[in-house]
Amino acid sequence: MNPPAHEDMVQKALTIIYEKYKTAELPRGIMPWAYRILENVMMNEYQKVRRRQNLLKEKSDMLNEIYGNRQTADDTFEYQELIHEIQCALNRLSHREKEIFELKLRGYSGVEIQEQLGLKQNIMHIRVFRGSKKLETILTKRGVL
Amino acid sequence: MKNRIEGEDLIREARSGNETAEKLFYTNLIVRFLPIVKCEIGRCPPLQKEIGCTEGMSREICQKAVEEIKTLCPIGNEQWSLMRAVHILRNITDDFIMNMLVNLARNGNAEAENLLFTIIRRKLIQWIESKSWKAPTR
Repeated sequence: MNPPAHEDMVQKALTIIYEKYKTAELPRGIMPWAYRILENVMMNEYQKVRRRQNLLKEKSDMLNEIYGNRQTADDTFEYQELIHEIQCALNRLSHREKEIFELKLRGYSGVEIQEQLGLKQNIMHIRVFRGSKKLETILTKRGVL
Repeated sequence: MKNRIEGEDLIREARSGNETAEKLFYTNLIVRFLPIVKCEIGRCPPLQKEIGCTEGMSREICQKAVEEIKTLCPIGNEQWSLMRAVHILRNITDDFIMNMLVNLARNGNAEAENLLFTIIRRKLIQWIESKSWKAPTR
């Protein structure tokens, strides 16, 4: 990772340290605890990057499977149509359901989405469930699935 | 017997089991360490304001460092070196300063909090850069 990314991670760790140092128990002093926090922040960043890479690979594999690696103009058109259909279906979801799916498509994990939107776990599960059902119905009606 | 820390005679005497020489050696070490500790504390104005005269506190830290040195790398040990001793002293001084700053910051001293986070930031950056990164595994 490059130095700016290092600085970002240090900044994130410092924010957490600042929020918690007043109440944290520090039997071995503050630095071992601070290093641990930074290590966790780094671990999360790496996992996020790995998850996004996997997601991109999955998408690319899926497209290859569907279109058999053909690069004709028709295929490109078909792909764009598919994206358009999915976008239309997403637009028909409620605002709250849509934002969860959009974050998921960007590669965020469930926990990260919960934190970002300030949702409880069960509320998010309910919205994902309802949203998935709606998407399935819409895409089936449109003949995509 | 030379009354100097780097005196070869003194070190030789201390290593040969002469207790007086050993005591003198460690006393000299404390004297040599005192200005280093005072200088470190002097770099932290909020700390200096809080403890006022740094003499007693510095001596206490040096004493603690020497105790640690006696355990980790005593003069009788072949691996003993002044560099290593100073390294131990610096670690102990750092810990002490950080703990004092944390206590002050927790009690609402804004200056101490500011300094504490400047030091933490610097240490974290040094730490992260020393890793020359490969992905950590858990």
